[in-house]
Amino acid sequence: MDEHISPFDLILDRCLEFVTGEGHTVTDCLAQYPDQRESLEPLLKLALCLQTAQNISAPADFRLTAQTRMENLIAAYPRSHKHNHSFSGTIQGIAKRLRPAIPAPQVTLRWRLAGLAMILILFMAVSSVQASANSLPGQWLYPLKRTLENVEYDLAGSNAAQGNVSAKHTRERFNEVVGLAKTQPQQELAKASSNFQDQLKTTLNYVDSPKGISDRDRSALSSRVYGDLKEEEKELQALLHEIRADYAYRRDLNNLLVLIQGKLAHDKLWIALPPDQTPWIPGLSLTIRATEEPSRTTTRTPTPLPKNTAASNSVGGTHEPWNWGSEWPSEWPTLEETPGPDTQWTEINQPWSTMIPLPTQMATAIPTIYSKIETLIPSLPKDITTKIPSFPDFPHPDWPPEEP
Amino acid sequence: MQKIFVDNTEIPLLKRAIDGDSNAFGELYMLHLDPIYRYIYFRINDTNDAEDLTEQTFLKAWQALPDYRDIGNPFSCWLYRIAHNLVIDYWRSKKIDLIDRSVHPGEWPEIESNLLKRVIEAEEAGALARAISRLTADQQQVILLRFVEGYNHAEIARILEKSEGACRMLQNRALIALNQILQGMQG
Repeated sequence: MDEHISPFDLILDRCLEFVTGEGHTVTDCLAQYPDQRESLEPLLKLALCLQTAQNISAPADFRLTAQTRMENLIAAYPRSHKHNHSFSGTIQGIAKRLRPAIPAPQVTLRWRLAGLAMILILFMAVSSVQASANSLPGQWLYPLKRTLENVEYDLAGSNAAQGNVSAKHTRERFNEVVGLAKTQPQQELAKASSNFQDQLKTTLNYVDSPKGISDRDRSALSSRVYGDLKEEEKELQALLHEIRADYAYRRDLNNLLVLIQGKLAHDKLWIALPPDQTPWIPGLSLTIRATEEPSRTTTRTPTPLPKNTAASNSVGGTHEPWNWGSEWPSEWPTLEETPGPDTQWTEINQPWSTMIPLPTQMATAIPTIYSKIETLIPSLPKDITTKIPSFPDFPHPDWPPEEP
Repeated sequence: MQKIFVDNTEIPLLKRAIDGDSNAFGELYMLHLDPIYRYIYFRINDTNDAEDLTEQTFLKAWQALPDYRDIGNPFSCWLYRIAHNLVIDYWRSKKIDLIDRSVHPGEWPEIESNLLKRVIEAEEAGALARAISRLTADQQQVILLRFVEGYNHAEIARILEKSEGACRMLQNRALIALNQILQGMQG
């Protein structure tokens, strides 16, 4: 900027130094610059006038009480923080100097109110989520509950995790049915029952489909679903016994009970169950729950197998299936004759083999088949009997063909 | 007349005040009370408000002292900065823009020596304060620091964070503008 300073500015600056700093008079200075006298004189006198303002001081009454008032102010407004000589304090100080243009945020009343509103909204949101956990179909928080469940399902990382989440939601749907059965009209109950069935179907898809789920996870999921269904069956039976409702109301619950009992007969659930939970194995006893119509129960006489022939004996003379030859039963029990979801049974406690029209020789042959398999495949697990396909699947397509 | 820019006597007081000694700060307060009061008074032209702003200046200084770093500038320089910011806030609260009140110098005016004489002789500090308060913020600072407080250009340059050349130019323009204002007031 010095290079743009005009000659007059240089002269004025020099004269001001002489007059205000070095004690020269205005006349002395003007004598040195007679050509600039008219312009310099008022400015130099003004500068001297301004110097007299140095005599102005704070009013006497203000000065007398100033120190006391300052001490009171210091006591009323103490320092917010101690002097920090630490390295971090120095760094903060440097950073503070490096960004002086950025104004510090001021916590005004408006911001405080906004913060309070945010806290209230957050509190209400958390409360709503908690309250929605116990909501039932038809209530205003129920959509929120289902939305959160959908999010939980979508966020589950693997198929196994999704299966478990689905099983959890299935249980929740059943709890909703129970809750509505005691309080709500039939329309909502039918809807809740439908929701339960849909959710159960989704869960069973994870049991049925081996894709993306390890055998161990699938087994665990099957066990969980089976356990849940058993509990739900008990609860539903207790509920039916407890409540007194009209026919349509009971019919919905009864249908649900039948559905659960049918799913309990789902072979994919059995496959993964541990041996002590396996519901049917030839020779083991099975308890089937009571229903209202014991008269429909039939105890069937086993169909006699044809006598052994020479052809069958010629192979080996044993009663192993591949040696039966022409003795192969001509009449097998049909699917309709086996216990299923729609079949109602009395409460009995007798060997399963006596309830199925199982050929006597086959009944005796099956344990032999099992022991044969165990002999042939040493690595086969001991609980292989739990993994034998259900009866209607006999004869297995992979078995050796019949001798000509 | 020349100010002692760095007063070694205030350094021990300053250290004690930083450590929380309110008595030491009280002594510093009394040392700098008048310059800061003048500086504020001539910029806002109101005695009561000047007293309030002076107290606020020292209160802020006390609270901010733990962050004070001796980087070669004197303590008074720091106080002037605080006072300057408070004056700016003061005018902002009154919705008055200091820039718009500036007087742009034109041709070199003829100054009535009678007017100047009356100002000097009658010590019309109020009139002078009114005139100074109509300068721009930078002009006010350089006028007060240079002629009222007696700082040299090097010291003013450090306080205003400008070059010495810029301060010299600012001083001359401020002096000319103040002269015009005083003329207008007389007229």
